[in-house]
Amino acid sequence: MTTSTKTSILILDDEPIVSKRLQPALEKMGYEVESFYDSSRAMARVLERSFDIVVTDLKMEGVDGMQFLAAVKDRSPKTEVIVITGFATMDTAKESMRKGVFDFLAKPFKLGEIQEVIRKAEAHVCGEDK
Amino acid sequence: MKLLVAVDENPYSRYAVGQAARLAANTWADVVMLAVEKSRAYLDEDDLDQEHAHPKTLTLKRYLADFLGSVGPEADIYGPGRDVPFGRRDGDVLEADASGRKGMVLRVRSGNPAKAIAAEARASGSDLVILGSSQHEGGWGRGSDVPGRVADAADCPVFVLRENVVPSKVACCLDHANVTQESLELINQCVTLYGAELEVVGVLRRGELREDVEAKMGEVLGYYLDRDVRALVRVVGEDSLESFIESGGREDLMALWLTRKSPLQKLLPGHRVASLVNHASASILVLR
Repeated sequence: MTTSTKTSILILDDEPIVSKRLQPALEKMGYEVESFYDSSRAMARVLERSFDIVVTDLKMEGVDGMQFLAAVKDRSPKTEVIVITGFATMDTAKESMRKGVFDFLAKPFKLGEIQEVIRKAEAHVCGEDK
Repeated sequence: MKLLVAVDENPYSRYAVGQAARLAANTWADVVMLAVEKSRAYLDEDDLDQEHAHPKTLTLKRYLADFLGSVGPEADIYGPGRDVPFGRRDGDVLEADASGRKGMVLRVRSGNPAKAIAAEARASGSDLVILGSSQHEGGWGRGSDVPGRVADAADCPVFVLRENVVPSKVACCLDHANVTQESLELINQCVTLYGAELEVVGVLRRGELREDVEAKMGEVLGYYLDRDVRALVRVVGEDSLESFIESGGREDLMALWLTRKSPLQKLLPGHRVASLVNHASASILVLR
């Protein structure tokens, strides 16, 4: 994982409002956060370095969320991926789980809900690493 | 996403449970299922077993089985579906926690149903209240207008489902420009759930479409077209909005924004919103 002592999180959602809400709240919780609206840029970033936790939307232009999460897990199997989606279907939920996501959250959700899931994912990451 | 499914013993509630299960199967939402019983302070619970003292606990257990059956093979995310006991929580509330990986909690509250449902929505931080309604009348007891009153009183969105109807069109009555991201996300989930087409309805004020509403309509339309959702646009005068909503077909889902910033809230005082929700043919999604 990273050399920083902070848990690192990458957020990818093509709707800027999601990162605008999430990033400051997660930074306030002590996480190191990088946000992306463009899936190809996020893809380039995960190939450069690994993150402890990745939060990704599914339905985006360019690289879709499923391809992105597969690439993340391929590059760094220990990274916990949380899928957030505004167009949830049973198939996308099942496929996400098959691909090893930590959790699947449909929008809308409250900030507290994703913060709680991230806390659990962090505990999982720490439990495996230490 | 957190769903609150409010039920009584009528067939429309069973239908609403099935539809809530479909939504839950797609979204893996945390679910609270709520029944409301009459206050029966005169009963000495020590003399009765729980199922006789609180028959709604049995109703909820039956609906839980229906819910899990409708979710299908993935139902284990809501726990093994075993018979979990009800216990007291926060004074008058009875609760059975059947959760698995995702939350599935059964609760019984007592008192006025509309107030109890609105209170539960606040207490459990619900993103959406789902409840069933019979055609052209609210149901929930003779002469009752519970769905309409819940739609009026809840702080969160409320989905009032007509029995045995699968919406084929979602009509979003856009009367203002302050549309929240959360409300669009709920519409997205409904459109996805039903494979419904979307109609963005702009509301004319004094015969004209306000500039900000027109811009928002364009933005909303673009948002859906970018996501491959079939969407159409139409306009309706504010004077005929109420009749437009009332005349929606059985297979329509009317999405209405009722917020302080919404002119619709000013056009339709609380009791008329409640009446509209109770008597419309269409299912109604009240957004905040």
